[in-house]
Amino acid sequence: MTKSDLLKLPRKKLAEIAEEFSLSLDDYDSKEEFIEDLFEAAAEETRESLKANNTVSQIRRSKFVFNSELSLILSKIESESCENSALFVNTFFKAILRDNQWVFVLWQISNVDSMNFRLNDHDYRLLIRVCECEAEGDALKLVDDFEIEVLATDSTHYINLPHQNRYYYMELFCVRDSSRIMLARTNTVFSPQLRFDNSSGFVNIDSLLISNKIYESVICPPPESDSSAQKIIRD
Amino acid sequence: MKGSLNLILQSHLPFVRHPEYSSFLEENWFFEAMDESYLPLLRAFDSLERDGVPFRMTISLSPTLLSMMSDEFLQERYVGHLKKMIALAKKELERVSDDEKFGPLAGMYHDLYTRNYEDFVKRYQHDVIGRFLKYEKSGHLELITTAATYAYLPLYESEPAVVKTQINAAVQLFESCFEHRPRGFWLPDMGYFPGLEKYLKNAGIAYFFTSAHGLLLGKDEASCGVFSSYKTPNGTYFFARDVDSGLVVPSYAAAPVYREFYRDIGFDLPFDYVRDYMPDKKNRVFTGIKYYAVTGSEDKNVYNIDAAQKQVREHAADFIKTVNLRFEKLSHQMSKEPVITAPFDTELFGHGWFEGVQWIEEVFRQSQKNDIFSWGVPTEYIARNRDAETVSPIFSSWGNKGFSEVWFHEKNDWVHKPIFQSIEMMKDFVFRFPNEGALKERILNQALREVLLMQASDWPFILYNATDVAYAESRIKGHVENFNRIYDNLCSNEIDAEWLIALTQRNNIFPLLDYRTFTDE
Repeated sequence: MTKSDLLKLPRKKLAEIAEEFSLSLDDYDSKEEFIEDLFEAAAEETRESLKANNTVSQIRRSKFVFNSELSLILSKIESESCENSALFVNTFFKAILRDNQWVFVLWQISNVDSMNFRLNDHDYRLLIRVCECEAEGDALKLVDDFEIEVLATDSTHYINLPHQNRYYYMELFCVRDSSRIMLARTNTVFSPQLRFDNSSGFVNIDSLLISNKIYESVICPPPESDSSAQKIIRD
Repeated sequence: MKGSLNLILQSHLPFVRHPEYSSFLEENWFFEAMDESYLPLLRAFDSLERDGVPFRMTISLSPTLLSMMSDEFLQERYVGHLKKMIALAKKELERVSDDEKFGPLAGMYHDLYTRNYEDFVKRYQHDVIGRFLKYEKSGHLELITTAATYAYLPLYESEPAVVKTQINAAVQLFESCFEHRPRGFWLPDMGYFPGLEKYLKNAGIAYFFTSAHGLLLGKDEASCGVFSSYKTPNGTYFFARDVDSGLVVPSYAAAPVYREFYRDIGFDLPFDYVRDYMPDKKNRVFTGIKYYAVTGSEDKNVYNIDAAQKQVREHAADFIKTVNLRFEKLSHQMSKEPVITAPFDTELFGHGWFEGVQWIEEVFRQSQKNDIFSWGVPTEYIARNRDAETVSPIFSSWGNKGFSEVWFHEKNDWVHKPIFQSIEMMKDFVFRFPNEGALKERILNQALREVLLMQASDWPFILYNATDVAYAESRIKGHVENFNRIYDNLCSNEIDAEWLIALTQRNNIFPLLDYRTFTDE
């Protein structure tokens, strides 16, 4: 961020930055004076953190990188929603199987990706590409894929898995104008095919399924509220 | 003998310890479990041993429960609770002494709390864990462990560091309590995912348990159904839950003559009378003294001790008869020794079902001369049946609908993002601070402690069931906040030692935890 960028910021935002660097905006007669000291304070802190080899501190301070290329990432992630205040170096994207029909995915776009791809303006789209695979020897062979659009403000989503006995992984894309960048890929999950062979006659299948209420999840579709409007874009 | 019955009691409570308050309502979860389940169960063991009645079972004691049982602060608070309960029971004894229906019941409660006090303070000298160890050493119990904070492990299939730490921290704590490593592992909520056995085996675990459908709905045929042990491809043994036992035993608890849980003098008597026994002296809560029977209608009958005792004997006889019939049938169907694996929450007995502990004792007494089945433990069955089939169980749990729906609901799925964020950050800490000492090591260990505590499956479970929602939310958010503050401390390179010490004293679980072990390798 340049000095002119900082000059454009409202006084309230500058006061927040000042506080981060143990400065008080009230002590300055002009924004220019304050910005001079801010640059000095940031440089000093960088030197200190390097001296202490405190890499976490270095990363934290990277949110106040002052140059013409990067945006200033100011605010902590709101703790109201019970999220962490950290700066994430790497984007992560996780898939957790809910049952044999649904997978829950969650993601955190790193501050580095946010800066690099300028995602803080929310003027972009997020797509999840769902990749369906089957085992071929020790490898996985892609057999189908589809995409789901999610809101830029989302960070979790339920995805309906079309088939059982298949492996799935998802890829998270940022789409802006005509460009499309993959941000992260999930772990692979396996959706088991439920089968029952009671040729040996040891178990009463009805008792087994009904008592565990599995019958509903095996036979019936999950409730509407869980589907969270899966908007599928097929090629 | 035509087979063996594995009774498995899984004992768990979340870690609730609040020295920052003079009293804390949710600490009562532990006190009530001690009052109604754990101390009566140990007395039942004493009684059976005294009378020479053979008994065998497997008990999983969760690391959080063990930590609370061994915590001096909670032990002191429990003694205070017992004194208060004895005073309340005595007050009740005086109030209803002339009443022929209520008088004996007040006497029963006075006796219960007095015996709990005598046992806990004088006989055991606060060492309940030592009492379980005694019965393990005498061969009556097989003690096993479960995940460190009872994390539901399928959620963390993609996080080897979490699964490994949840298992290893549990094994480490178990070993510090019982002087040996556990042979078995209770998967929280029977949550299994393929590959979990790799972590168990690395931790020296020989066997675990799965749900019945986890075994039966998979791709491999299990030729003996749930009535045998099996091996996973890596050689770890497992037993699948017998669904029928899981249905019949809780059904006993609903008998009309048994004690009703929800009618309690904490709500039934005038507030001024019970005020001093309420944790905050402002709001009504259950006291544990309950005078009514289930009955089966709104108009509850007064609890009758003799009728309940008679019903306990009948239910014990019914259970043995049912199990005998099943083993008779199985012995004709199977060429190998059948086993029935019957796991239950320990607190079903005593706390949920007041007469449940007596039922357990009675079942053992009545089966003394039974020659159809024997009471067994998994290790012995495995030793006798080493040629178990190799079967791959599928992802499953004993939660509602058999998979992970309980943990993925609009009421609770918000918890996963901050937890996974913390996991990522914790792994980052280990990478960036590979070998810290002194205060920094201490704060990093506490960071990992907070990560483990926020993973407790109890909190989303409570949110799902909409019971103590405010407390569950506060616990998740509290651990995330603690973790964030640690992060800020580390980032600024300024550790708030006073706050850190207070935090480590409050959330003091897993003293041997080493943050460096939290890696995916």
